[in-house]
Amino acid sequence: MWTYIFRRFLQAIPVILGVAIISFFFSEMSGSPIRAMLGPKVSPEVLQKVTEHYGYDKPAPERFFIYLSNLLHGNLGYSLFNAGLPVTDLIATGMKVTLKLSLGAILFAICLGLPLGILSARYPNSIFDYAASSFAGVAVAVPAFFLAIVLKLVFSVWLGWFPITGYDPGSLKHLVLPCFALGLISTAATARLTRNCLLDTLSQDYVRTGRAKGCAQGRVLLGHALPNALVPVITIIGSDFAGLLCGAILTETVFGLPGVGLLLSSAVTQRDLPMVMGCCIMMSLIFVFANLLVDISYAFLDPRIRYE
Amino acid sequence: MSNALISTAASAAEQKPGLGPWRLALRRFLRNPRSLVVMGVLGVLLTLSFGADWIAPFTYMEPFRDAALKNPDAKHWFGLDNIDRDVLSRVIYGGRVSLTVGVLATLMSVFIGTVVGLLAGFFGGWLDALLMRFTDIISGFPSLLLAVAITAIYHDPHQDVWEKIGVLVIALGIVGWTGIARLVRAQVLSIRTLDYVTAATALGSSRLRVVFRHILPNCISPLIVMTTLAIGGNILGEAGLSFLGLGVAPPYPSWGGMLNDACARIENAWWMSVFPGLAIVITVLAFNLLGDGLRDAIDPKGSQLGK
Repeated sequence: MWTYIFRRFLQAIPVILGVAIISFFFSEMSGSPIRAMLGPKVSPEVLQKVTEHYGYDKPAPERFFIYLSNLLHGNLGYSLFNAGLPVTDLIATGMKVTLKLSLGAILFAICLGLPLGILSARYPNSIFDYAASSFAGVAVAVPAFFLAIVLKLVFSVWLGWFPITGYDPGSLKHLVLPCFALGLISTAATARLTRNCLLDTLSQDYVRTGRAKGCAQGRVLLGHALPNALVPVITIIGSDFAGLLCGAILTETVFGLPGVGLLLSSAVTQRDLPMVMGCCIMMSLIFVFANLLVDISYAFLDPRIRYE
Repeated sequence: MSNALISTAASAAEQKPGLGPWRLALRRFLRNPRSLVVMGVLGVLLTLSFGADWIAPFTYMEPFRDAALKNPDAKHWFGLDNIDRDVLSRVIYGGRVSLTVGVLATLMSVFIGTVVGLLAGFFGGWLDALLMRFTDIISGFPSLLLAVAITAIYHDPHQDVWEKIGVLVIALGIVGWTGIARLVRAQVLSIRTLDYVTAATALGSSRLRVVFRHILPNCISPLIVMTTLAIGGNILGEAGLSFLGLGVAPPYPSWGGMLNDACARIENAWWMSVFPGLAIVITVLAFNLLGDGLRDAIDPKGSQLGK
């Protein structure tokens, strides 16, 4: 088991390095952001000074190594806006909100998606099953930010149940609608996958054996079949995490939640490149790490995977 | 009795020599009422978007300052937006950007993905290892995030509509090819060892001929399905980027950009957000259902298993 975990960790290193290289490459392609920061009316001397201050006058390979070693020290540079604060600090503050949002969305996906999927598999081809699969089909086509807008319109503006915008770290009220909006697609995916995997498992021999022993229907379904059907479901939920982080960029913008997504979207409009790159790297790191955790949990659930 | 006769006749018709697999697939596709409805919807969407100059009641930037209310009414079915432009006309015009970007970005991903998948699958060895690690790295990025980064870097408010569409296509196209590369590679690996490929090689076909004449045509059917499904995903991607303000520059409308305008005015103008949003949902749903319909038609066994 430990060798497997170690090997997976080693495999993640080139991916992270690749992410860093590609981020650097793209920021190189766009040229120096200093001019955009200072505006068109700046004098050449000031431009020169500021360029030197941020180190943009050095040749690209040298800057790449500085950038890499800074990255290893957890330094992602300084934001060109936001009072010039370190990117890492800004992201660390935003990440608390974004993680809460993403975890909340996953919670919605599990609490709604799993029961939906189990019920559909229990009564396949029933009206309920049909309704659940139509729901899943439609949910995939709805952009999370549009759903967010509609939810906000109905529940905040018309019904007044939830605050319209903003964030209060002490209360969950601000997070309910964003989490639901963000989690709906994962809910649909989870429900669909749970149903299909469960139906596959239900046709296996050991399920028939369980029934032949005289186990109750519910026990066969939840005790015998479900644990094995859950393995792929866990993978999907884990890799959905990446999608959720992307979706969080848009959902946070709709609800004005001060997370990494909002940081990123304002950085994008201001052309604050160190901030954009920092957000990309941090989110990619979380993505790689989430996939790593999924693979490891996979190996725990299904011992055959370890010995591949 | 008559039912049995009909089904025998039907299966005889399906096995009639001379009807190739593509004709059979087309016939299955056309016999599925859902596919026909979806084709109809897509036809309407395409006509509306690209015939917008003739169909839209007003232009996308004409203000109606004299209107007393901005609510939807008999003259402006979808209401007026914050600077008094007709929302219906803007929704109709907005489809151009979404559909163009959705289709072109998908074609770009399909091209990159097919080339990478073919090279990796057919030549194998170190080239395969290198290309697949590269694919892993690209898919290691959260996709929309990479697209945001690329568009942000090339974002320039002075770009005209076509330059901007180019940037969006490149950003989404660069991000979306990894799944297609994996699919093509897997197909090539399974086809490469089949007898007829060996036979073609034994008969002296060049490698290029084997790839393009024998292997690629057999990858096409899953590729078509995946392409159709990818268009919906890219339309969502375009909407997301435009929503972040990275889309075509105003006043030209795009659905995502209209939602961006609407988001801040949600408390007093619900129609500004609901109609462009519904347009996105209907379009993406149509492409997804078209993909499902094509899958059912091209690979009826696979779709039966899935149900």
